[in-house]
Order: sequence, then C-alpha cells, then structure tokens
Amino acid sequence: MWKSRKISTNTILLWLYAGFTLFVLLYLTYNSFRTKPDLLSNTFGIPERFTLENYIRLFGEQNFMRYVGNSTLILIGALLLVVVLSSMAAYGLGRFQFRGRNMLTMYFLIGLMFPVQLGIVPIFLLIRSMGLLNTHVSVILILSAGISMPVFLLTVFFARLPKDLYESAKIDGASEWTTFLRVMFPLASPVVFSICIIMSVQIWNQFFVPLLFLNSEANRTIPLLIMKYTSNLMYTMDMAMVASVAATIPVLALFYVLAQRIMDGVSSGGVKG
Amino acid sequence: MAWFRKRPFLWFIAPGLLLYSVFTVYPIFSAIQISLNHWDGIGPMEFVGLANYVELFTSETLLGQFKNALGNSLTIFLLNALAVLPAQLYMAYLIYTEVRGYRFVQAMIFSPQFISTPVIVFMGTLLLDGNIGVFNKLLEAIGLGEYARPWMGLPELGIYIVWLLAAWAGIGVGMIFFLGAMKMISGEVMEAALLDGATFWRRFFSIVLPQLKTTILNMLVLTYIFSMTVFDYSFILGGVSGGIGGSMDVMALFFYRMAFGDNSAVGGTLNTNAMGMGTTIACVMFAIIFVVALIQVAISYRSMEED
Amino acid sequence: MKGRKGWVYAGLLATSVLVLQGCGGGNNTPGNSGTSGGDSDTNTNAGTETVTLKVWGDLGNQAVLESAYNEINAAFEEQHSDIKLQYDFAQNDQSLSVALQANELPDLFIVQGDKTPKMAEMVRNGFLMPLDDYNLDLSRFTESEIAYGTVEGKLYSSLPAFLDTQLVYYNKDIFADNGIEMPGTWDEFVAALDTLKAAGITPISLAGKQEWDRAWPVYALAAAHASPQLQAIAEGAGDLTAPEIGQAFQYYRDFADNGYFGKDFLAQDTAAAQFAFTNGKAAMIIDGTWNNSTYEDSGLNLGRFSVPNAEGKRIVAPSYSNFMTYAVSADAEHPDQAVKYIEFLNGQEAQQILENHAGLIPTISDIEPKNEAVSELANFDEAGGNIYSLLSTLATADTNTPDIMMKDLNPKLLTSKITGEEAAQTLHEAANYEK
Repeated sequence: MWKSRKISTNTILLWLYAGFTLFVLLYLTYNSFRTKPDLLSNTFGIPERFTLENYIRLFGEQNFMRYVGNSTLILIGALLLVVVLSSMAAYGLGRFQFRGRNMLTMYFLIGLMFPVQLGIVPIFLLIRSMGLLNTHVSVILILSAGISMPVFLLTVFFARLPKDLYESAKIDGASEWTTFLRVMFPLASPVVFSICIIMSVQIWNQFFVPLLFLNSEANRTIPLLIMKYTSNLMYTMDMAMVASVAATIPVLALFYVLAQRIMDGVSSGGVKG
Repeated sequence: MAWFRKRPFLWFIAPGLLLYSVFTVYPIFSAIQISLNHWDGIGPMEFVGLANYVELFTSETLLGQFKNALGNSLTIFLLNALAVLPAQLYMAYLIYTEVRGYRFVQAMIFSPQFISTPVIVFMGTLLLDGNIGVFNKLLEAIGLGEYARPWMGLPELGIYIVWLLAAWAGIGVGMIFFLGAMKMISGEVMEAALLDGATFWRRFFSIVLPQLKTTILNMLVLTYIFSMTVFDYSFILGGVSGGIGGSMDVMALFFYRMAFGDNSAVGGTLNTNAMGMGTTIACVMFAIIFVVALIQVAISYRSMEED
Repeated sequence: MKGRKGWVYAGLLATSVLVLQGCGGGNNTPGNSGTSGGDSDTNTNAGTETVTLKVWGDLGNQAVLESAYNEINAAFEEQHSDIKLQYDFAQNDQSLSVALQANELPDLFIVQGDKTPKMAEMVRNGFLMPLDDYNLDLSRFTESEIAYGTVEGKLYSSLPAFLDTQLVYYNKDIFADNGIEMPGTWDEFVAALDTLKAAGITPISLAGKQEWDRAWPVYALAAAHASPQLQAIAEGAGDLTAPEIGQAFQYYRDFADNGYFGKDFLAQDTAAAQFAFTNGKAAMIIDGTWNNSTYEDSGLNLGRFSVPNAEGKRIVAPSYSNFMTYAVSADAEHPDQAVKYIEFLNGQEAQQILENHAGLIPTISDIEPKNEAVSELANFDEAGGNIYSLLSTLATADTNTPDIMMKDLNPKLLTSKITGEEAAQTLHEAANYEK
C-alpha cells in the first residue's frame, strides 16, 4: 500500500503543527466560558468559575441563529452560482481553441487585483436601480461575480484533459452540453470540491459587501455581528470570543465531516494522462 | 445563429462573463477614471489628467512610502513563495498519503480560516504577550523568565510578524488545492512506483511533483496576487500608518491610508485629494500586479503546452 | 438543437434568478431591531399618517451605544406616535462615503461637528439641511457647544452634551502597598513614578504600537503644562515655540527615557497595555474617559485622577463626544419629523438616558452623572487646550500637522531620537498660523 500508515518524523511534525492550532482553538473556547472581570484581571490565572451567560446572551438576546440563517442563505445562493458560472466559463475557455482565449483568461483574473472598496459606488447605483438594496439577492449577485479564482483554476484543469476523452464523447453523439454535464464536470469534481471549500469560506467571511448592502440588523450576517464585538474589542472581548467560537466550531465540524466524505469519495480512479 | 453554432464556447462563457463584467470589471474601470481627478470624496471632482501619477512618483514623501510599502509586499510574496508554498505541498502530500490522523490534521490546518482577523490577533496577544501570554508563562516555568517578551509586537520583527500570522491563517487554502490536484493522480501509478521500490519522497519528486507542475505554477500566480493585496494583518497590527516607521506598511494599506485613512476628508482631518490619490495608488498597484501576473500566466501556459 | 441548448441556458439563469428573488423576498421586510423596545401599534390612531425616519448609528460603537439607543428611540416613538424610526448601526467612513457619492444618505446620520473638516465640506456641497428655520431651543447649551454644530453661521446638527478627555487610571492597591497617595502636584506625581519604578513595578502601561493610545499622555501632559499657550495660539496669539509646549513634549520623552513606561512598551498593542494594567502588572494607565467601563469591569480597586501641574491645578484636554450629534440630510423626505428627532436628542431626557447607559462626563448641569465614578472622571479644575484639535486648525492641504505629531514625532520622542523642543519646532515650521 503506497499510503503511509507508519509514524515518521514528518507525521510528528505535522501533528505538532496541528496540535498548536488545536491549542489556540481550545484556548479560545476555554476563554469563551469565562466572565469578563475574570478575563480582565486574571487573564492567565485559573478562573474561579465558568459561565454560560455569554452563550445564553448570544443565542437569546442577540438572536445568533438569525445571523446564521442570513449567512447560510447567502452562502448557498452565491456558492451555487459561483460553481455553475465558473465551471461553465472555465470549460468554454479550457476546452475550446479560439482567438483571444488567453486574453479572456487573463481578463477573468483582474477581479482579484483591485480593491473592491474603490469600485463599490457604481455597483451600489446598479443595485439601487434594480431595487435590490437591503436584500440578500444583492449580496449574492455581487459575491457570485467574484469568480476569478475558480475560473482560473478550472480553466487549466479542462485545458489539460486528454482530447480523446472529449472526442469519444462526441462520437457517441452527445451534445456539447451533455458532454460537459455527464463527462467533463464529474471528472473535475476534486477541483470543484476544493474550490467549493475555499469559496465557501471566502463568502462566509465577507463583511464589506454585506455591510454596505444589508443595512438593517435583521438581514445581517455573522461577520458583521463579530465586527460589532471586535471594533471595541476590550469592551466586548467576552462576546467576541463567544461569537467566534459559536461561528467556528460548528462550521469546522461540518468541514471535518463533509470535506473527508467528498474528498475521499472522488479520489477513486483518477485521470490518466 | 450559425455563427454561434460554430462557437459553442460562447454559450459556456457568456453567463459568467456577463455577471463578472457587470459586477467586477465595470466598477474597476469606472474607478480608474477617478484617478485622473483631484477629489476629496465629498466635493466636486476636478479633472487633472495624469497629475496624480506625476505627484506620486515625484513627491519625496509619497514615493518613499510607496517604495517602502512595495518592498514589504514583495517581501511577503517571496516568503510565501519560498516557505509557505513548499510547506503547503509538504502538508498536502502527507495528508494525501493518509498519515495517521490526517483527517484531523487537515481540519486543524484549515481552521484559522474561520476565525476573523481581529480575534486571531487578540489570541496572539493572549498567547505571546510579555505579561499575560501563555508562551512567556511557559518560559518562566522552565526558568527562562528573563527571555519573556511581547513577541507579537517587537518592532524589529515588523513585517515578518504580519507574514507569520497571515501564513498561519491562510496556509490551509493552498493546501486544499494541492490536495485536490493530488487526488487526481491515479492510485495505480502510485502503487506501481511503490512496487518498483521507490521511497516515500522519491514518489513525491518523481510522480506527484511533475503531475502538479501546472497547479504549482497557478498557485504561484495566485500567491503573488494575494501577497500583493494583503491588508488585514498590517492594518490591525500596525494601525493605519503601518507600524512605527512604516515597518508593517503594505501596498493595500498605503492605498487605504490615502483614500479612507484618518487624514482623508472622509476619514478625518484634511486631504483635499484623498480619493484622487488613493485611487491613483490602487491603479499603480493594479498595474504592477497585472503585468507580473501576465508574465507568470504566459510562462505557465507555455510550460503547459510543452507537456 | 442549438435553439434548445439556448433555452436550457436561459432557463437555468431564469430559475436561479427566481430562486434568488424568492429567498431574498422573504427577508425583505425592513428590520427595526434598533427600536425593538418601541411598540408596533403606533399607527393605531387613524387619521394621522405614520412616517418612517431612516437613521444611521455609529457602527464602530454599536456595542457601546445599542442599549442606550434602544431606550432613546422607544421614548421618542412613544412621544411621537406619527413617527417610526428605522435606526440601524450602519455608518462608518466607507458606508458614509458610498452614501454621499450615490446620493443615498439616510434622513439622519452621525456627524463630528467642528472636530474634523468633514461636516463643513458636506455643508459646502449641499448635503446637509440647515436647522435655523426651526428655531430650536438651544438655551441649555454654551457658545462652544453651539459652535460645534455650526458651519458659516448656520446650525446643522444636534449638539453635544458630553465630553471626553484623557486621565490617569490607577490601581489603589499598588499605590497603598508602596505608600503612595494620589498625587496632588506634578512633583508628587513624578516622585510616585520613581517610587514605583524603584519597587520594580511598571509605573505606567503604554500601548506604544498604537498611534492613538500612545498619544494620550501627550494630550494630558500638554493640557496640564501648556494650556494657556495652546489657548493663546488658538486665539491667534503666540506660536508653538513657546517653551511650555516644548517642555510638555520633553516630559513625554523623559517618561520613556526614565523607564516609566516599562520594558518593551513599544511592542504593546491596546489589548496588551490594558491587560498589563488590569492584571496588576502596571500601576497606572493614561487612557480616555470612554474606556472607564473596561477598567471598572475588571473589578480592580480603581482610582482616577487628572494630571496635576506644578501648582497642583488639574487641567485637561477636552473634546466633545459625538455620540449624540446627528445631522439631517438635505434630501430628507420628512424634514419636519427629522428635526423632531434632533430636538429630542437636544433634550435632557435623551441625554439622561445615554448618561445612564454609557456613563460619560456631562457638560450640562441638569444631567445627573451615572455614578460616583463619573464624578471622579470629571474631577478636574479646568478644561484647557487640546493639542490635537489645535494642530488640526493649523494644518494645510500640504502639511498635516496633527498627523506629523501622531505618526512621526511621538514615536521619535518615545525612542529618544529628538528632544521636546525639536518636536515643537518641527510642528511650528509645518503650521499655518494664517487661518
């Protein structure tokens, strides 16, 4: 078996690194159960008592689940659009030979190079004229336009797929669309899944676009709630830590389960080339 | 219609291209024209042609800040390319070969992505502070108390701290991509190499690495773009001025300081050309990133065609 | 074949748009969490039409202000049954910048008055509505409070009723352990610093990394030692070369030279410096009155004093709080109702609610201080000169004098690269006294 199950120096190094990160997460979690006076005056010491008050406040008074709902809604909408649009565009760019192909590929990259803050006013005017201010749709549309990275990575993937794969599908009489959907897209699934993971995190963590387009508290997302606590960090550090833990641990658990299932599931076979 | 029929790729590209052009590219180009104006962000714009660009490259203070910020951004890129990228490959390969506990390790390495930057920096203080930091308490416990220092803020470490925190938080991203690319290598090839007697690292260098060549080149392009646009950590660690003597200043912070910083008209005291100059810096930054990325992409495509 | 393919794509796009519309629509109802205390049956009295005012609150201080504004807004809606508030903490520099450029300002939003040139610039470009025609009752306010909201002779904002300043927070237990009393004069203050240092305790915790935090001692020292000179310059007499100003900067440098800020203070950020004080590792910290509650919450045996000068007089650097100063947008749909809100914020009732929640230093005598601590914060003899505000008035488009002090001179003083006199001289050369 080429997979290595025995413990080597490399494994131990990796464990040490993961152990350090785990320690940071645990220390964050541990501190989230402490009271603010205790955190302030006895930062390193052993706490007198642990408390759930901050969690109760977060889920009760703060209505944390509403922020989770908003974030989830935006994530699902934007991620779906990103995957559909970027894999189609990348397939068009990678699979077909045409003039200006490389320029168009480069064109898809420039979205990563310019600070979004400067170009936001035209977007704002556009969204306003569409009547979408203070709706989740506006945020979904803007975020799913950020397809630079997925297009770039998938284009290369499709360009490298062996030509005979495509030809044989063609001979079977499949249309371009069927070929893409039935043959090419499934082949790309390892790349698509890593893109899904990365883009999910990026969309999940966005705060600038939601800040401008979701004014009312009822529509806001998790990063905006966390920002409320981090902008006066020493004043609300207890809530900042509680909110961070509540926002991190469930998503991390989900990542642990899903990423493994998906990544393991697609590894079979592979592409010969 | 026949014209479209001969160009099936248009159907694939059009929807994404449309949304991307409207919400990502059009705003960029409409912003670029701001750089040709003298503007504080509130009052009327005054067209000045290329005067902002001339001022940026002739004013001693602006040029000095520009060079310093560019130097720091490039430092971050070099460190990322030379240290983080190999580390990502290394981690991805170990996880790919399913070392003991790889599921857990993978989740851990990726986890800082979920924590917001101010909280990460705050945790840094809790761990590394001179008075209350866990690390220094540890030093005291083993009798090295005199070495206890606020490690995260030492001015002489400047930009390296920025890099270290950003690298720790972001290392999982590249790793996931490399892992995805490795998953596409056929298991049979790996098995055959093992039977041929190739060692663990031999398999890495002779099978995995060549297969990943394009992915690595592409990650290098993305690493370059992301390194040049790093903002958060410099801003939170060094404030809007980028640390004492600009030791933590980077390109994105330089632009931000001009456009929205506390000496811009929208931010605070006074600068009648905040938006004009801020946009100019962003455009220059854009040009630098674009040209180098173009070269990188060209190289990467050529090497792909050679395959 | 080709036609069908096209329809597939069109259908796909249409579906996704519909799905998006659907999920957005459900959440399209304007939220009014800021007024959660308000009753929803305000529009029961048929006949009068209810209007909704859109108000932006300070996003950066949402955690501090949220509870206070819930109560203020509820009280307002109770008194004005025909007005509903949609109060959102949505304002920061960037959202305001976008709103200005897109002409999408809310009816009311936060302004910083004469503290920065921003409000004046908005007035010049016609974004704000003058309030003079409404003949607001300003009898409770002083001349300088009215000046805060005035641009070129016209009033544009609700007025400040609170002030912020910088002072010394100290750990009473550490003082008692070292036999130190709260210092009454400058010499006693310096003697206390020496005693603490000799005892191996960091006398003052300082966040040397943070541009603003490291400047608070400068504000306090300049006000204590050079207020008459600073005030004279503001009135057009004298300049920054006055020896008292150089001396104040020199004291700041001496503090660093003598180790009063402890070791490695240049590496500390806000959190580190405040933790050092709340964990009893440092005896004092010089910080703003707005951080009072953080220190109070730590449960420390906390004392507060303003820096005394040689004669024992305590003079501080004041600056008005912008927690309650709002302007009305020139495009406001319901200007009359918006002014009602301004009037309410100018009144004692709203101010008292804010005081009860936030514990600020009131500048108007009919506002009851929240508690004993607030009285201690306000225990100074005189509100003197504020060096930052003064330098702002001396700035030009080319030389940003306050910025020079904050970003260049302060770090140089802390690292012993220049003397106090040189710092004052540099500022003098950059300043424009013409205005």
